[in-house]
Amino acid sequence: MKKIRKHSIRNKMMLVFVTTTMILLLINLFMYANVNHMINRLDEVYVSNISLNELADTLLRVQTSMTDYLNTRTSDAMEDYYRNEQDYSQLVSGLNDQIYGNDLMLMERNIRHMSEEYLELTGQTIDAKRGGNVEKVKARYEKATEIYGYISTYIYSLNNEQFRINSGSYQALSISMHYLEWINVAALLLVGVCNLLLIILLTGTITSPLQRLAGTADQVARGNLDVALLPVTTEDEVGVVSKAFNSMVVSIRDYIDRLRKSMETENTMKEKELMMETHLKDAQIKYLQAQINPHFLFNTLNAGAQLAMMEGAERTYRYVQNVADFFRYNVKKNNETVSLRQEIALVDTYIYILNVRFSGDIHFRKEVDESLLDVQVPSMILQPIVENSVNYGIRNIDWEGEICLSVYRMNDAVCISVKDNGIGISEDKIEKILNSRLRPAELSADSNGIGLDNVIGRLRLFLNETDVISILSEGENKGTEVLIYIPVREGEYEDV
Amino acid sequence: MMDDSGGKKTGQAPGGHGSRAVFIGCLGCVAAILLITLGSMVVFRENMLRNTRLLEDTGYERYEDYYVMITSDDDSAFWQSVYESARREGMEKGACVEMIGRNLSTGYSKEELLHIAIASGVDGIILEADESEATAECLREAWEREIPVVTVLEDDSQGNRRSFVGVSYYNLGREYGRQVLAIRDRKVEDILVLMSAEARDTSQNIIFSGIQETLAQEGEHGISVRAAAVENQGAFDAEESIRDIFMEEALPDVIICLDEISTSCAYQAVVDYNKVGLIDIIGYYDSETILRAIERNVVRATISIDTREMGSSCVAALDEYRKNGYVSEYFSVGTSLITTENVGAYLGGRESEENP
Repeated sequence: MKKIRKHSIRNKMMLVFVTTTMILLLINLFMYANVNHMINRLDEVYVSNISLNELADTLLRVQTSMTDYLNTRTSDAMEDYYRNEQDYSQLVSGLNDQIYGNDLMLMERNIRHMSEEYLELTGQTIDAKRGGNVEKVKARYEKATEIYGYISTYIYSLNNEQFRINSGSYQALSISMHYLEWINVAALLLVGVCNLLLIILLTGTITSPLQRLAGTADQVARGNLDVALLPVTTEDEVGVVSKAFNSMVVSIRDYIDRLRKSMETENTMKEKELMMETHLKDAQIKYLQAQINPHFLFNTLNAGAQLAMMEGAERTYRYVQNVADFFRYNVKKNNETVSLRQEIALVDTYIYILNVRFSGDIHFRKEVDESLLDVQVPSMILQPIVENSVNYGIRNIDWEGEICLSVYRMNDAVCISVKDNGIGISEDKIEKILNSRLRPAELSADSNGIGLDNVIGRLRLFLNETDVISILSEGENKGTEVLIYIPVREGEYEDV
Repeated sequence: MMDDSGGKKTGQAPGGHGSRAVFIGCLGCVAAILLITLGSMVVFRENMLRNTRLLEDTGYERYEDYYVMITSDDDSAFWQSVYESARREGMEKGACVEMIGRNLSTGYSKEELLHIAIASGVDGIILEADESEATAECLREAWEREIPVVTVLEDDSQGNRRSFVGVSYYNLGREYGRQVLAIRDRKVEDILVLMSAEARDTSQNIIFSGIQETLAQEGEHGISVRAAAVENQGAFDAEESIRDIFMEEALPDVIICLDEISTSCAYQAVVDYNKVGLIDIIGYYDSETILRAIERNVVRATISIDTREMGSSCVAALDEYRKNGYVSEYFSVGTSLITTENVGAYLGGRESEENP
């Protein structure tokens, strides 16, 4: 097979043609040989009859020439006799001389023996005639003629018997001949079909790579470069073309690949350029931000506090120290989890600062279950609520404002309550707050930036629940209470 | 991104499988062609062999000696049986026995056949002799040429033969006589003996006198014994001359037949002329027809010669002479009487031989 693959298409075609032709030729030769054999056998059928006829004819000639000589005594007749006698004894010597258990063979043997006797008698007759012995001539002639009659009958009978058997042979052979015809036709048809299959298979090996090549080329022509490479199984012309086609497809793919990569590099370069610009701007912002660094502020405030202490201004020192603590907490604890204790401490600081600002107008009361102060909460949740109570609850009232912070346990939750006696809040507004639908205009510009909305969002995220806060107000000028529920997890405060 | 692994993974697989399939397919085609060729050759040879097997010259057995048998009636069941026995004996002794002249287109006379046999240089002749001069002449010639001749059933009176295989005709005649006397259920006055008209041998005369003597000795003087000549020279003469007897006014009480043909003919004539019970037949030989006739009580008895012994004795005599140069002059062959009492055994024997 490997050798075949290396041949050119022309050689392959030659191979196919020669192979199938040779096969057909051989089959035909074989059939011709069979037919020839049959014809030879048919020819042989009547050979025995022909030779028997010849034998009978020669015998007749011997008898005739002998009679002729006896009648005329010419040398011509004698010559004839001797020639015929020669012929006849030659023919007779070819006959069977053995004793076989077969009637025909026995007849042949008897013909031979009688013929020998006959020839001897004719010879003696001729001799007697030449010697002029008339009596002997007559006696021997009669005897010879008698045996001649027997031999003739034997030959005739044998001929008949042979003919009967030969006719049987002929019939059998002609039947065989008839069969042979059918066998030949059937064999030729079958071999023809096999040859056709052979041709289809062998030419298929030539045409199928071409078809694959054509199909793939068509796909490539339609723009599909992602085709499978052609399998190259032969080294003929098609194989060469297939290889060239494959390398063409690969080079086109490589080219497109390179093109795409260069475009990508270009894009990356542009991106980098933009990022550089952004970073530059960022640096500029950071520079500006650095100027208002909280540490700078704390240090500044600490310096102020130390100055106040040195000058003996105790209240100023405490105030500045509280302000510094407040801001430090703000900066440090942003987005961290803290204990409730720390949160309450921040509220204390805030209230202190406010009371210094507003000359002790805010009455702040605490009712705290000390055992619950280690509960972890998100930072900066209580201060914004207290700030709200101050800014919206009690700032503009005529009576004395009071804010009460209480922490207690209710069922499975720690309940933190911030209650004021201010102007209260409408149901409508409560609903808006809880569903984060307050417009920015409704927010006070006075806050430190962290509104209730933010607190509620963070609590919900931290506790992974929606029902974490409720706002209660009995009506206008009747105060507001904000309640936070922090569920206590199983076993967390068992000892409480 | 471009995927260049696609080409690699599809590179070889289809080509490899495809070419293997093609290779297998081609091999299959060539194998099929070879098979068809061989098959058709085998079928043709088988067919031709089957058609010509019977005609092929299958090796015939070769023999050392060649004996011929010449009888007066080759086709009769009696001689066929003798010949068959002789042929078997010959095969055992390495000799081929042929009933000469059977395959010839011309029907030759006994003398002519003898001439043919002598001219053919056979190794031995088995002959049913007669008293004719021509036969005697032929026997003399054979004697001169040292071709041994064994006469069977009928002897040559001049003795130009090496041996004779036959029965004692006098005893045969006495047996016929005893069978006549055994007829007790009716009165027997007239006995007709059917004798061959052309036979010039003495055997029939011996039989005839045997019958006469037996009847005389037993004191049955009132019984007349006469002979009738049956022409058996021509092909169908015997049947005609027997029927002629039935046309006569004086019919015999008993007909004694001395050969197979006349027995069969007499039997048929008795049936045809409605004389069953009026004429008794004492026959000769045990052919199927005759045995059936005994079974039906048409033929009273038949005397059968042991044909097997007869045939084998002939060949044995020739063989002995050729080996030793001399042989006993006379071989006796046994006879047996078949009557209604024992015919069943013969018929049964035949049937069991035919259907072993």
